[in-house]
Amino acid sequence: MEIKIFSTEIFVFSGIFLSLLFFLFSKRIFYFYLISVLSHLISIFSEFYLLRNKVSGEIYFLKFSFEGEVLSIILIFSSLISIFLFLDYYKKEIIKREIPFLILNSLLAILILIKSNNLFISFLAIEYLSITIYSMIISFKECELGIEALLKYFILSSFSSLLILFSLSILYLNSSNLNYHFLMEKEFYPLHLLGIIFLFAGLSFKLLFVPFHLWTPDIFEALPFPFISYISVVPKIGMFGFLYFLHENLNFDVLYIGIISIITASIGNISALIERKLKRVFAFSTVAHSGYILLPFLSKSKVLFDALIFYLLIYSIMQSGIFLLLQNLKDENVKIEDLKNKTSLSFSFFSLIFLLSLTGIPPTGGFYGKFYIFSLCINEGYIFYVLIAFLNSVISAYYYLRIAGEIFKGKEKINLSILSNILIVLLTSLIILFGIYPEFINIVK
Amino acid sequence: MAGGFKIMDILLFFFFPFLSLFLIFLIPSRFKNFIFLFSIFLILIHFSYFLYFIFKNEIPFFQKIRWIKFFNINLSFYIDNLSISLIILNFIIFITGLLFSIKEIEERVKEFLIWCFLLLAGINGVFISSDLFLFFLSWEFMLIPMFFIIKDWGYEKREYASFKFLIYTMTGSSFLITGILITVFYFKNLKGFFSFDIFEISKISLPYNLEKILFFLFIISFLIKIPLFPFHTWLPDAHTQAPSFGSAILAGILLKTGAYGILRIILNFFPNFSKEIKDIIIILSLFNIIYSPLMAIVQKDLKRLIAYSSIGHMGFITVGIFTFEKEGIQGSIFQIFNHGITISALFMIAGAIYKRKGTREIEKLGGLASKIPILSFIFALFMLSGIGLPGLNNFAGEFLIIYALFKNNVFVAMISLIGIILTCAYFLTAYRKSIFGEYKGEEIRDLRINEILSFIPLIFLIFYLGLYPKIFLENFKEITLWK
Repeated sequence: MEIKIFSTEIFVFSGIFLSLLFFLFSKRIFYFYLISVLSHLISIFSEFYLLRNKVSGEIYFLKFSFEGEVLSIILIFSSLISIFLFLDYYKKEIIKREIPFLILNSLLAILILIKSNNLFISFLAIEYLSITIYSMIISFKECELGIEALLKYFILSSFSSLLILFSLSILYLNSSNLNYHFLMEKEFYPLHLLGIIFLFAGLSFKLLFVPFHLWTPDIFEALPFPFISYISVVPKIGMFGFLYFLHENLNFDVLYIGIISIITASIGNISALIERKLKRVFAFSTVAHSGYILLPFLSKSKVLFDALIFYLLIYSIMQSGIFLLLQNLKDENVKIEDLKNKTSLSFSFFSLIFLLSLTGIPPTGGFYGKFYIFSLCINEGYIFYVLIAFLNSVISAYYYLRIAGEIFKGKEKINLSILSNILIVLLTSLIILFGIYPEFINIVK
Repeated sequence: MAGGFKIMDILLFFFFPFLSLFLIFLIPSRFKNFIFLFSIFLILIHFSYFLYFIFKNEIPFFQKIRWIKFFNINLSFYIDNLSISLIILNFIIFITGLLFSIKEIEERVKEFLIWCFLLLAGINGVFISSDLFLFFLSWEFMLIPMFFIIKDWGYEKREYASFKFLIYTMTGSSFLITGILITVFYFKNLKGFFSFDIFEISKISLPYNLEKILFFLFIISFLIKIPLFPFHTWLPDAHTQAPSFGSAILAGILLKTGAYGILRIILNFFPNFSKEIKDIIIILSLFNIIYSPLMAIVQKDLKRLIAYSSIGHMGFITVGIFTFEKEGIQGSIFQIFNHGITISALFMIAGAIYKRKGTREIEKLGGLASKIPILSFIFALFMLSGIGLPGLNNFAGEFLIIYALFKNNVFVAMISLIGIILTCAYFLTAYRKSIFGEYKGEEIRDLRINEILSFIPLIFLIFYLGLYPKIFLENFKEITLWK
């Protein structure tokens, strides 16, 4: 096979290599940024190139398919946005300069994760991803809380890796091959079931499904907004992509995904209702969104992929957008009631759009995303789940609009940097565009 | 080619509020009065454009363009006499309400008007859309501006009231969207393609069990909006705490979207089951008719009293629809219009009194007639209209509804007559306590010129429609179910 099939990974890897070289010669952050952004851009173009030429196939342990390429584009796009989120924090000099380098590393890890063909390679990619995220958390300099958060994350994450590894050994015992295609071949029932359960439990830690979600609020509280944005968006897209490819090959029906998803959404939303600190509210709201995204996995239709990428794209846009706005607050660990002293009018309108989109109120992309993924479940006949999921968005409306209401009371002026202004306008118009004309995503495809 | 022009017409109408919003945005926010007057002017242009539009095109008007290919969703618009009457009502209340609140809304005027334009767009969208997706979009869209109008410009307990409003109505919407999705997917499994079009969907007949489930999913949302008896508790709070403009819009138009939904969607989609279940709806409406006047009698707060009276009157509308008699539905549609005018004027009057006296408690008012005669006179007119005095507008509508009820079920008709008597009781008592008697307190001034101006069209309408209801009713001669 030709080498161009690996081009994305090669570009990302050479970006990593170049950054390592620059560590030797220069300490200017600007170069790291430049390298990172450039390799993101180049890899997006190479993915588009692969898509256009309809390259697909399997080499060794990697597979190249239409789905994988579309997912990679969304992934690289959201990773690119999150690089810019960190920019303001460099001026305050509270984070170390390795961040763009680490982002490139985790991008590579996730690219391997969603393109892998073999569970063992996926496991390695997940480990690689975890290590980069540990290093990212520790690179936050004011790390009294950071170290606690890191320890929590480290212990739980290693525990989840342990579960995944255990499940791999069981699945291997069952089918003597960890390639995706062979997993379903021999279905010796109890072993297979056990393997799936452990695998799903391990993934639940990363994907924030109840009851494995409790680490999120603590870690979110300890970290600044760009980190939160990164952790809640980029690895999640990768993980859901991984789950999608597993779902194609493994039989998840035994797990009652619908119930897990409904419980996740409900508990996430209800917990967020009670919280008063902004960051903790957003932590639980991320949990709730995980629940929503899990729901369409009930269906096995081909539309699932379209719905999934639409929601993931919208999710990454609105999540990055709202955090991009909120990181301009002077005091980051605010309670919701105190927001009113810290905001201005234009700030309020922009954040309102993102919050409405998170709630799922038209005409924003968030509404159409929910509509899309829930319609799949209706098609399969899960009316009750969908009703509860929509009622969940009523609960979420309470806390999101409470935040919006408090923001609207503010009168203080906030000066955003030019770059974040451009980004915010871009993200807002994307949200509205996807709400009014959702078929816009076909242009990407 | 002509079709292309038509679709541009309706799109221009649909997006006009957004265009005006940009114009408003450009004015510096220190010219408060100018912004107000300018936006009233813009809405007047919008209104006259609408009038021009309905004279130019033949009614019923139907146009669509493709929107979302995958679900076969169209931007499709349908305008018939029902929509026209409601849109006209919408414009009348918006214009008079904004004219009235020039001096009432003093802070953050620009923000307020931006919400107003968004609200206008949402409500008009509900009345002109014939696509379920577009309908739902507008249905949700009008909720957020109303929420912020209550929350930011309301009275003392506004936070509580606004969130109660939000949660109730959004709960209804989640049932509605689930119902819409189920309907659409049933249609798809039957015919092999998606369709969100109201008329296409109403052509298929649903199996009994599905019809039952869907009926409940759809109607809960509409009943919350109307609101019918067990779902009504959000309304007194929201009305009492909203600013006068908010209350006027809420009672005048937003509640009517529920009745409109029943007329347009429920009766079209579920003709059989709604006939089957009509007794239950009528009983619930009788609760509205009897229970809410009883509640109104004991209220101390003037705005709360008017809110309960609104619930009572909405009961007549649902009763009228669910008689399934021609006169009943005609009367209900007429009553939708009448009640919108009367109740919004009453809320504006209550707001004017509150602004002058600083209290809404009926006991603390009293003797207003000697100080503010014009306001007292206008109050008397609208109160009598609310009671349903012959010669004023509400009489004709209620008469038709009760006539249909007598045809249908004499017992129910008798009970609803009790409701009218109770209406007299609380309105007259409240009026006597607040307007007559001895005046205590500081000097207050009578209505400003803009407030008087805002009442004049409404007064004209209550007399005109009361004395010559034919002008309205002849448009609804052939009121059958649309199917």
